[in-house]
Amino acid sequence: MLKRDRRRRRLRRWSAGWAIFLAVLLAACTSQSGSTGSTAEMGETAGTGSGSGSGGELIIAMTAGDVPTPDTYPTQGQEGLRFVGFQIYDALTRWDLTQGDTLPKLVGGLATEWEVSEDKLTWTFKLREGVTFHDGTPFNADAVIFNLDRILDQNFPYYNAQAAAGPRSQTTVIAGYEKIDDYTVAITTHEPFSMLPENMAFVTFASPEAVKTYGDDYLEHPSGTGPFKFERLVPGQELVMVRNENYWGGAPKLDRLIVKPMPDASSRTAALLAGEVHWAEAPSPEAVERLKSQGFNLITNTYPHIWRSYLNQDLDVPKDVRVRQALNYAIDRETMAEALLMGLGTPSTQFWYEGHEFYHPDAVKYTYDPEKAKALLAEAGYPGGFSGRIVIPASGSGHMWPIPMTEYIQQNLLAIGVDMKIDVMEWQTMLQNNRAGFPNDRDALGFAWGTPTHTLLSFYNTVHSSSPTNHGKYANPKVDELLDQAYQTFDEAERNALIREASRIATDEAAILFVVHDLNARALAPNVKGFVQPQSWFADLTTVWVE
Amino acid sequence: MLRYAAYRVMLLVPILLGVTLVVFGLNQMIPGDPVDFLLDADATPADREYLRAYLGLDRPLPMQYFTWLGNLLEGDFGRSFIKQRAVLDLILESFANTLILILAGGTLAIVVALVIGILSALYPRSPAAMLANVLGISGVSLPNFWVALLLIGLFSVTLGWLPASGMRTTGSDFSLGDLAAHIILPAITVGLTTVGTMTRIVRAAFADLLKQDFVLALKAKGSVRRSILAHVFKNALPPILTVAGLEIGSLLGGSVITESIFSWPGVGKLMYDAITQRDYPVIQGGILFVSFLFVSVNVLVDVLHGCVDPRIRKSLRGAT
Repeated sequence: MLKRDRRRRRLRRWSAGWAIFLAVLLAACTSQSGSTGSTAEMGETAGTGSGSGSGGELIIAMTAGDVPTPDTYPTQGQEGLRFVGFQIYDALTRWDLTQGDTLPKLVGGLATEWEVSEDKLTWTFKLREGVTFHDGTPFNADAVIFNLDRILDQNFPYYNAQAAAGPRSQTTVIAGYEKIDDYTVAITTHEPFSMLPENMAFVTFASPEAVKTYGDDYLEHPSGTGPFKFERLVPGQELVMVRNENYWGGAPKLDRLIVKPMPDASSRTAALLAGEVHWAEAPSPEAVERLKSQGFNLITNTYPHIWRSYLNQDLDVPKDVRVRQALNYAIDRETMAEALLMGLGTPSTQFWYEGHEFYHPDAVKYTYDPEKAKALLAEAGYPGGFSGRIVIPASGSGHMWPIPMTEYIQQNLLAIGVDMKIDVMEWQTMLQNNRAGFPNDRDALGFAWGTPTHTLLSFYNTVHSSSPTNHGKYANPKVDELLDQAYQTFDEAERNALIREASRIATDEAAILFVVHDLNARALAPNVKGFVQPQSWFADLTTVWVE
Repeated sequence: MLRYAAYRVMLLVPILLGVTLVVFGLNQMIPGDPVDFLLDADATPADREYLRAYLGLDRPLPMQYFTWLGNLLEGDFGRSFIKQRAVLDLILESFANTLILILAGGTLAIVVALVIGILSALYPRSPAAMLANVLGISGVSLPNFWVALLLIGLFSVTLGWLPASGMRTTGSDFSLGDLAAHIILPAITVGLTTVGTMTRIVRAAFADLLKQDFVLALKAKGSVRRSILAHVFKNALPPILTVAGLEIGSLLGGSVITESIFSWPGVGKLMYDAITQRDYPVIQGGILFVSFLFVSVNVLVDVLHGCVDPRIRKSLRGAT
């Protein structure tokens, strides 16, 4: 207990040091935005309504390193999709992001309804009528086919490998597609696949006319059906969007939406404090107190994210389930979430957070129990512990703060005799090494990273023995069977039960080292109103306005 | 003189050819792959192979190199894998912004260095000399990413005088005043190293010359201080010019970090992003472009030498 307190103190001192450093950087005296004290209630209705030019201009500082390309599947990964892709374009299906109390439900986007055939291989999508692209051309079955050709048919004159690459892991299941009538399309899958509607939420649609007219220059004239229309892109600086008056889901309140890439967390915080942006994604934990005290709204919510470390089960030591469990019992997640992450993360003891539909209440709960950890290690034949190496990315979206977090884990593990060296790698280098097997070389014991859109697919890839990205090589035939079955189960409740059971087994067997779930923190200026933080990486900006 | 200039320009060809080889080779040595930036982490090996073939990355390296070189000769720098735009357009667009930054930073640095360097050579025990010492040491030793953050902390966040990033106010149209406000902090950051180096060079050159016999002779002749200084200045120019020419390299190099911190949309930021995304055509085109610029400036400096230094002119005449 004493030791724990000391560690907590050390941690506090550590974060206090950072806070002082930041305070020096970010000023000792009051800044102009500091005087606005009152924290506005989120979710109140717009006083001005959505008439003409009432919602103002919203500037968002993204974590992206560059302006995402405004293609159907933008660059800059999930960040590009969140703030550019899903703002300019729509997919057949989408998540209802208007509430934050439960996981978002899949609802109709450019399709209003869908059903699967008797043999479970053909899905029929009824398209929304009366929708037009930003360039005025109509959205219909021809547009759907054109766009699917653009990313699936390599002989199509307008095939675009870059646009195809992004949603690739969602589209490999598609075997064919055809137009039934002007507002009906059929999509067939290679095998019965119950998650197709979910996968289709990642496939967005561009105006065929714009693609044909501008060809290679399409990215300078992108045209979708989304709530915001592309206005201009200033390279390296910003992407400006204006509201789509004719948005089928109701015009957004904002007049203009500007997104800026700001990969450095302290730059984002500084820009927010200086009033240059209204909205900063992922402020660093050290800045939390200061932002709150200056009246900024710090918004968090749980969402399907997981920050974990794969445990290399090609090696003898982590192959022993008791060792993996011991490591899991050694992590003091509570203190990490509170003192290191300042509440921007929440402890993770299984693949999903409590309240998520895949969370299993009866799975083994990995509390902080170093004694139990030591006992398990002794039982496994390592009473004095062992040493190893853990590989982490230096930074990147969804990875939170890999270095201090892993240093914290290192301390925890040292307490049970496990001496872990940290190997920091640049993200791209790490990806390259992953493909050769376990990162870097095969003697690394752990490999940690965060996944911001943790879905059935990423769970499958983490634990299924036939997944090429199951980096830890965890294998359990029962888990494989349950997951395969889940993909073929078309009843949602039944499917969820299968996934829950697979998750319970993989949790009990400590398939990975569970650490934390991110809380998707963002800081909003007090004059930003109407935003609801959903339990999702993505965000609905149509309800937002700036006073 | 003309022959000398022509000779120097001709030397550019093998140098740049060497640069293309090095750049291409270096790119192959960086671990990582542009297709990872386009595909998500769950992509299958087949998807990766297809995309690699589509981008031409599966061909033998010599073939890739010569195709690139051939296209270069036709003025085609290729197309960005990631941004899907012509590389030359991307470079030229962003280079205009870098040029603005470097000119501002360089001019600032040279003016400061000249004033303080000369003053400290004339009055070796004055506060100016101390300032020269401080600038000389801190300029070359303070890392510019750190200085940049301090400047942002003080002038943007605390005082709120200057914007923290970008080249213009978000969402607004271009205006000169707006640009001036945005350029001050990055210009100081990028020019700092140059101030350090140049102050020391200027002071050393002047201090050295002031001890020379011709200065004594001028003094004995009764020349006024201003005319002595004019003579000294002429003699000090060659070494200062040489270093100033080389400093272009340091400014260009410094701009990579500075532009990334201040989100200045220049070549440095373009390159930084291209490297993190493994956007080979942009990395190759960008480095080649910057190298071309650097060696050209140095040829220009060498030729200018001949103009300001009659000794070089004479020796050239003797040699050819």
